[in-house]
Amino acid sequence: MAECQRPFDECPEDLLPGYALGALDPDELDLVERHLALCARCRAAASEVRRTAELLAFLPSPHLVPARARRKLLARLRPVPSSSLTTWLRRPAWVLALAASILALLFGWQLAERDRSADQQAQQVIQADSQRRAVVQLLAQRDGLLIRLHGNGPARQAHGAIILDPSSNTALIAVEGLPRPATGQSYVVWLVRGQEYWQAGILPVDEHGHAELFLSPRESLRTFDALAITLEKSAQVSSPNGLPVALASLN
Amino acid sequence: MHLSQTYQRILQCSGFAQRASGSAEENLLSDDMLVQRVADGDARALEQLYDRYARPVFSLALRMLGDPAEAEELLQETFVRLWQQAARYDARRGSLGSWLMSITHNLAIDALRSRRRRPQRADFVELCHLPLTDTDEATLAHEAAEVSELRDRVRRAMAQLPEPQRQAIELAYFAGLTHSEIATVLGEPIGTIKTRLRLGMQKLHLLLRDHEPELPRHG
Repeated sequence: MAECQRPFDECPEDLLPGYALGALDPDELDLVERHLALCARCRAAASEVRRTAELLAFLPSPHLVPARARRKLLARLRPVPSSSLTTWLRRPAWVLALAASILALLFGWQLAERDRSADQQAQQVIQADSQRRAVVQLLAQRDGLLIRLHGNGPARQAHGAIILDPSSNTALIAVEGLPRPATGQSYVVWLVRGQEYWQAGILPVDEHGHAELFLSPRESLRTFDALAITLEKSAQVSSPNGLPVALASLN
Repeated sequence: MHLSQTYQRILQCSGFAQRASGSAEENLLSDDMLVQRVADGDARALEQLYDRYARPVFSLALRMLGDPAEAEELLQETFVRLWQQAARYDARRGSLGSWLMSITHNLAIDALRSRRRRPQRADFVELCHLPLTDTDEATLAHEAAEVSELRDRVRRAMAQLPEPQRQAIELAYFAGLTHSEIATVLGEPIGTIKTRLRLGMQKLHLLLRDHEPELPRHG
């Protein structure tokens, strides 16, 4: 391309700031763009003033961002209604810590009950205490989330919790007092988004009615509205048909 | 035991363990690394970039559009563009911060011009009291540190410009007005406006050149 050999007084230098700021009227813009195609000197000058203009983007006074904007963004990335977990983060840290302590102490007690051997019991208590401190510490940092889980229907006496870590997209479901399902039946965990259900796994129940399931779904847990447990006649089901046992809102 | 194994798994595999040990590896990832993850479809990486840049993006959109609802829409659109076009980002051509802000500015200019409604003179827009009751604290806590530093520096530089030059620059950049429109708004000859813009941008360049050509680069 032939570069501009014209004298400088023909270069539209007075228009370059307006060009960088996007303030040229149509005829001016046409003139400048045709000139820049030929003039390396003006291209360099325009590039320089544009870099300065770009810094103006940081001038506005900072404003707080509405939380709903993130939820809407995530929903747009996956075109289905999404729910927010951010409100959980605003729970007072002491509430989470207290809830975690109760949950962890329950687990610790169960560990102790299960092991008759004194050595094993001591080992389990140490381990449970370590785990308890880790969970309490983490929940107290407000990064972990604790959601209550109440049974209904055939599992009216069941109760438990979901410990959820949105940053790693993992969750632990722990339920007590869950009746053992009849032969062939299974408790199935579902992640609910609007009217859609995704099977998240089978919830195994031991002889004491205790059940746990670790979740690490591919999709972000933030995008789901609820977690549900149903009692199904078969574990191989693609949608819930059995009795609802528990439902926890993720809102 | 089942319980113990489960706990070990959640502690080892989840962010719990990372935070417990004080290592927040993801928080140390550079913008460039996170953009690469976004290009691979990692929504959590996008959220981390959102934490760092949502606030300046929203603030720019709000300043230009003057309407919180529209600014929210534009904020989302900016990050949807990032989600869709992350693979096109070229770090050699500038920082992610500058790229995102350019996207925001262009979208806002398009919005202003498409609705053919000019906002108030930009320097008169008062947006200090927004009715926000549910704010995103992560965008405050994790905003890229360089953004705040740059904001202060640009503000100080603009404050050193003569009022007429500052006014002309703000009307051009934030309100999307052309030379002739600025001249009409201010009741000045168009040549005067061009001169004010040229002198103002020259001085601004001198005051801010330490920050050129690179804009904030996180990590």
